[in-house]
Amino acid sequence: MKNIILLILAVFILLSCGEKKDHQETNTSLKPRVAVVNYPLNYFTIRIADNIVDVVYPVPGDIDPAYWEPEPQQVELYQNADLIILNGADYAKWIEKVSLPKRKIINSSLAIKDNYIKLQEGITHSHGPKGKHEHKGFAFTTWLNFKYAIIQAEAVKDALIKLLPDSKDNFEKNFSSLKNDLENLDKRMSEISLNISEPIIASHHVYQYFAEGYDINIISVLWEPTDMPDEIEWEKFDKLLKANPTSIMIWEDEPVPKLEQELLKREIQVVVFNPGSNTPANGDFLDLMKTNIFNLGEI
Amino acid sequence: MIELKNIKFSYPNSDFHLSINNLSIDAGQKTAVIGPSGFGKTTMLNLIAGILLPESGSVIIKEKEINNLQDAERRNFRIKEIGFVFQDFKLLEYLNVLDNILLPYRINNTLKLKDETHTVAKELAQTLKIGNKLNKYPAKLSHGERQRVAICRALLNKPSIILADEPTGNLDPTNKNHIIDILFEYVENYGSTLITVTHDHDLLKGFNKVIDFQNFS
Amino acid sequence: MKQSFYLAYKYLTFNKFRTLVLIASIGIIIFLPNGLQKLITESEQQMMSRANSTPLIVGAKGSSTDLVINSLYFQQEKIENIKSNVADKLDDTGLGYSIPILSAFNARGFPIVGTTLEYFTFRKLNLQNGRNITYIGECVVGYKVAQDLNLSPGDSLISSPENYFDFAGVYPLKMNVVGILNPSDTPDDKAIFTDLKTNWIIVGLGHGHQDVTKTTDQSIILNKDSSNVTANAKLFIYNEINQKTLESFHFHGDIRNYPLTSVIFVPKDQKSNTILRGRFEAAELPNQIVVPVKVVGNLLQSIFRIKEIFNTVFVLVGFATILILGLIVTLSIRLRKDEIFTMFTIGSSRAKVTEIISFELLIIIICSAAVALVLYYLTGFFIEEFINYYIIG
Repeated sequence: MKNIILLILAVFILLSCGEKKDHQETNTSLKPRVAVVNYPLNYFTIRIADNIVDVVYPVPGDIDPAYWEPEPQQVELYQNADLIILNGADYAKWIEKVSLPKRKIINSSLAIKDNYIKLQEGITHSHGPKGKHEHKGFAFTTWLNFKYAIIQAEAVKDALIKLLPDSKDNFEKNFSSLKNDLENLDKRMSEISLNISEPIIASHHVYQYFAEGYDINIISVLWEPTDMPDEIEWEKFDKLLKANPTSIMIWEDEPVPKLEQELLKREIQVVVFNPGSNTPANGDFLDLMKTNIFNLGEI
Repeated sequence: MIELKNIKFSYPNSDFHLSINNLSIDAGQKTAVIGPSGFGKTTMLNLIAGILLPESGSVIIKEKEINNLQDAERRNFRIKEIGFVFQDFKLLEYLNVLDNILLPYRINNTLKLKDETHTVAKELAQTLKIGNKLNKYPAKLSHGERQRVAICRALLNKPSIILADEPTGNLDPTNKNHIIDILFEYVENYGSTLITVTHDHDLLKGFNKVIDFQNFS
Repeated sequence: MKQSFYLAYKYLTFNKFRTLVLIASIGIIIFLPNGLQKLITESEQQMMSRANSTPLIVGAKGSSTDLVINSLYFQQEKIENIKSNVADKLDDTGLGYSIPILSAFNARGFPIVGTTLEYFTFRKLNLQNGRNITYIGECVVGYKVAQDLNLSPGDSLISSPENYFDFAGVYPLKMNVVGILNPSDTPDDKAIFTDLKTNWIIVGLGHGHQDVTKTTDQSIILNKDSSNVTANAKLFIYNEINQKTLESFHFHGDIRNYPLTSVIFVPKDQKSNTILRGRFEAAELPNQIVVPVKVVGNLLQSIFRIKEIFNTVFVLVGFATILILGLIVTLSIRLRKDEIFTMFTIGSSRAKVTEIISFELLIIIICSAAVALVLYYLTGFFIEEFINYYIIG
């Protein structure tokens, strides 16, 4: 008799477990979850929200978030978040390939969408004589213009207040502190830019907003810090250099010594200016940008 | 003892008139009633059974004037005392042999259908050699078999009077004799009174009394 | 009484055909008005429930009925499209949130509904099996779709080339089934849900193919300059989105101009509802806004009028049936005159014969009622078909 009762109980439990799955998983943690698509937004959100929310940022540290392709379970983290903060300016191509809840999404750079910089580089394609062209896209490292970074941070703050109105005072206070830090960065960078009269060559097309924001003429190539360019590339580089004489080349990361030596032969100094797309190995966003500005300032 | 005294009967909207001055039939007698068609032989049987009521006169059975009884009393008398056998058998086509035999018990609240009744019905059927046909329906029976079912039905309640209206009218010679033998055997065994209307003069020899209806109506 | 019932039962079962015909015809007569009543009442309830649960619908100007039918029941009525930025503009009002819908295609007879994840929360649709839509090219199907087409997660569905709208081209797409929804007793059970972008791919606004800017196959190039490569019709467009082809998928043109068939708008509160409708009436916003309850209510009014006519007809038919039944009983008694006489002869009373015949009638009526009850119950399975063919068809 006892065995029968246990069996019935077990069957009942098993059947209960097989019941409805919510289409959207309920958040069992008490804190709302805020998902972000890159490190700067991650930093802004943590600075503003402090511990009031759980920030979801599943991009591995060694991948450029703009080109990251999430696995299904990672997409699910975004789907189940209470707020999804996008960078805007076509950042993260994976966004248009997945399904996200529309009303939870905010574009942190919406206020500056009229100022998005269209990409000039690259080749588009179209279909047929009258076919619409593929959209070339926009430059997306908006936060490198620190004025825009403040606007993005403010958008994050506003979204957090809408999500948690009761914590408005906290968010405002924290944002104020962050804004102060970003304004200091902007101020310092503006000062340094006054002393930059020559063009700067950049290893990658990632400094468009930085260039525009601080009135610096940046010409980009497409070089990797780990790969020594071949002869043809050096020939092109020399032509470029001849047309745009400069002694500064900014890199996302420290180039290999051989490469640096080649540049030094051409009297070009290497300046590491890490865009900060992803989590730095040491320090945080502010530390990184301060280091970037310092490196540039030293030239 | 059955007596019909000064009976006058006619059907509504009909030219038919029946007059019986005096007719008596002794108990235990086998009486045949002959005569041309339309003279009222069947009507007389119905008057005796109490199914029809005379306009005047008396029908006395066992010293009871049955035409003066109430409907229910007359019906009960009929149920208890009279067994009817018809020329065209009058079986219910939708009942099997056993149900047809038991019909009186199903249509009369005064008769209680019990297990014993079933037993008696089956024995009666066995006696009349239709014991193996109990589940069959009338359509599947021969004329002779059908008449035997009707006889079983009539005799089930052991009536003291059997009224048979042309019981052999639709039968072949072999079956005719057989049916008459069954009726005679019953009458002899139980002392019942048998009144048979027949056109068949070949069957008259076994009867105690023959009434020629031409002389009565 | 038991014996009377027995005889009645025997008579009826012996005359099987006659009895069954009587039971069937009386059963149908009893059923018809009740069945119709049930069809109409339950249809009304279902339709009004669906309409009640949908506060507002925005769509192109034109027939509000067609707009509502397309949006709520996914019947692909010919309605004009609106641009997808209509949904964004509605969100910008701050009066609530929008759920865009593109319902223009079907797969194996079932409508494909392109929408956003909010739709499922809004309609309280839960998964029975599998998972959410994650990537473009995936779909989640309603319970009846899965049942009828024998689908489970991992299976695929190809969209049909038919197009009920004025799209220049339709590109059949093999969609991956990733989830099956729980039954909801709504038109959602018979729908295939995809992300809006997947539907736009079917329209041809987005697609995947090899990288023509890097290919060495010149036969697919129509024209090439320093900034753009034009591919010709020979270029193979992928008809399936999987791990290999996903990366290549992209969209052409401005996504704000992409088509929708309608937008469900969920206002924050009644005040927001009124404000938004006021803006449409004042022509501050283009397109039309409809209140589904009102539109469906109007649609059902005409059905109710027909129902009244039918009810009158049924009353007359019922009366005629009673007369015919009476006639049948009378004729039957006349035909059974001999049988009744036999019963009288062997001792039955009139009351007993009446009792037997009454039981025959009672058995027929009870069986007819049972037939009517079964038909009435079965009617419940046809509510959807009734709605589809006779109300919104």
